[in-house]
Amino acid sequence: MLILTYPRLPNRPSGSKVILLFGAGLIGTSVLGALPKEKCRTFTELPFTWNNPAARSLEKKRVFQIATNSGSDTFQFDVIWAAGKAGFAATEQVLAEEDLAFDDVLDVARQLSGLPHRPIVTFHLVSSAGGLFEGEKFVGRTSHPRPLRPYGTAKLRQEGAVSHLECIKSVIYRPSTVYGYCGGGRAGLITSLVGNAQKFKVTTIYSQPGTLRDFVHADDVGRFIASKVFTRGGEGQTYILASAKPTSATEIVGIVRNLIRRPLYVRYDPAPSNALHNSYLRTAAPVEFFSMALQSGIQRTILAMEAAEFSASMKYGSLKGCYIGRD
Amino acid sequence: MVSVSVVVPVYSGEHYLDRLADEIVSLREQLTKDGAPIDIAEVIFVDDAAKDGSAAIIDRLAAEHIWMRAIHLSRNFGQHPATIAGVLYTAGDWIITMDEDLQHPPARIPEMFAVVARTRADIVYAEAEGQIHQSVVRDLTSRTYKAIIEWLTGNRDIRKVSSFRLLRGEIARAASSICGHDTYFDIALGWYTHRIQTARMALKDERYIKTGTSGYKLKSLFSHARRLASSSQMKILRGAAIFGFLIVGVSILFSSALIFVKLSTGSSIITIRGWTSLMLVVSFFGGMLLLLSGIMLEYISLLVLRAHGKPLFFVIDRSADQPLIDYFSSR
Repeated sequence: MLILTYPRLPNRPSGSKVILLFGAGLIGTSVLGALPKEKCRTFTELPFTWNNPAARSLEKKRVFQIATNSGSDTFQFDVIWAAGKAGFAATEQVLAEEDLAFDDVLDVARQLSGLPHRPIVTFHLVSSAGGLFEGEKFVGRTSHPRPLRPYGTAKLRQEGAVSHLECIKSVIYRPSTVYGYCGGGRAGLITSLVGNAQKFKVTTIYSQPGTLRDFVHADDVGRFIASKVFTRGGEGQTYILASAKPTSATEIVGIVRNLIRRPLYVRYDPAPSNALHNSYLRTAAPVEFFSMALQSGIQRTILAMEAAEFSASMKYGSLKGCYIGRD
Repeated sequence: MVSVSVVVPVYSGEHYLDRLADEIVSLREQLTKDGAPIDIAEVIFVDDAAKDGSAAIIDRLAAEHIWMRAIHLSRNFGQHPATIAGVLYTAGDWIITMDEDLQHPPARIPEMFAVVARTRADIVYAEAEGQIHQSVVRDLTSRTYKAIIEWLTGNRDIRKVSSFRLLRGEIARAASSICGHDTYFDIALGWYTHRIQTARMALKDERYIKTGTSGYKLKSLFSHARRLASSSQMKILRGAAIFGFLIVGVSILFSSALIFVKLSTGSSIITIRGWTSLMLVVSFFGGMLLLLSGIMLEYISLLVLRAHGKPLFFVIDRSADQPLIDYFSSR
């Protein structure tokens, strides 16, 4: 997890701001990338383990200590939960571990709101529209979630827990299918296609060729969340972050094939576990949410992955030891 | 319940779009009232850099109806690309594509679904009864054009093609996603299914009848023909190769006969010296050139089709059609 502190600014005379970011995966990295760096005073990276509640208890204390270093000068804390131990196919057992870690983060938020100088604490929860509305088409702002698998149920539970926090404002983000590249973690359809094409390997797709999804680039999601962290008015809101452009697996394969200029070997799982459609009305997402065109987003993903591949080859190839930074 | 997306490319429809939207709204309400398992879930207007005030009208319609949507293309790409763009924004189980000018009455959409229920088709084109333009010349030109293209390409479904289509969503989206800028949309649809039917109905091109103008100028007809040809395997190429092969065969047979006569009788059938050998050489090599050109063009057409994205196979699930079959069989 990361703690970023922002000093007292002329336009915010009441004090400094501290952001606690849990989760440095695809969305977490994008949020971090979208937060203003030049204004950041301190940046601290701390461990926050999934599997060991005892160790996490100590880590929690450390997080609280660092976050409150500024003393009563801090007028606002923003806690962002963009973490997830497992993906769509997670079991109840794995999700129970995630729930425990999530509860610990809620505790941190409660402790912060209980500080004597009563700072404003806002909890930003990154949920999942794909998990909540699996199998539903034409999802709108007023659609009610009907999760079909433990992952979606867990997200709904987290949303409920955040909404009922006392003295803590909450903002919930429900991104649809997020794609992009952050250098590791779980690979989605697009990163799998690109990664396997780089290695001349076959990609197995766990949906039907015509299965519809709504893809949003992680950078768009990150930018939106970062903007809500730095502007007021979103408290109590639930935002669906969708492009409202239903896209089939066939279309994704076609776009990647056109852009990557390498052979693309694809097989569809004969018993696909992820074959239900999911689409959103154009009015589902807030008007201020910008979703880049799929071609642009996929091109950006390919470039990031090619840069990473080049970087890896430079590190371990003939120029071993030469450091190549990744943007 | 099957969901339906309606796609309308828009270029010069400011006088028609409000009425078109009203008719779609009426149909939507009527279908609900009738208990039909058909839900018009979205209407997608694709502004193909409209030359009149259509863009503002579709924006207003989208603001008035949550299930209507306006998409604006950056420039004028043409009716087919606009239709394809619209299809790629749909999520419906079925997709209706129709013109902006009320040439295609929304009220006839259930008849197209009835054809699906009866025949299990994947594509239903509206087939005009009588004279669509109420002009003998215009209608004859249209029919002749389609007949020529059908003869050139050997594609019998071309005669059925109309821009008022009911398409199975998965097939339409798959075909749209492989279409290049020169791929003919209906040819690409034919790569995914042969279950293509028509629904006969009275259609009138009101715009042409009233104003004498049509969206299809001579230039655009040629452009259509070119794209149709480049998207199809041209039957004429194979014909040329076969013709070349026949000429080579005939020249070999004829020269064999001449040599046989010369050897067996010692005399020539043709008395002019050198003419026979010259003609045989010309016909043999001419035929060979034609044959090899035909083979090369066949190879090139295979590469072109591959570049167009013609699929090797496509998996389809038609199990969701049952409510339609039940509904229309009970009527």
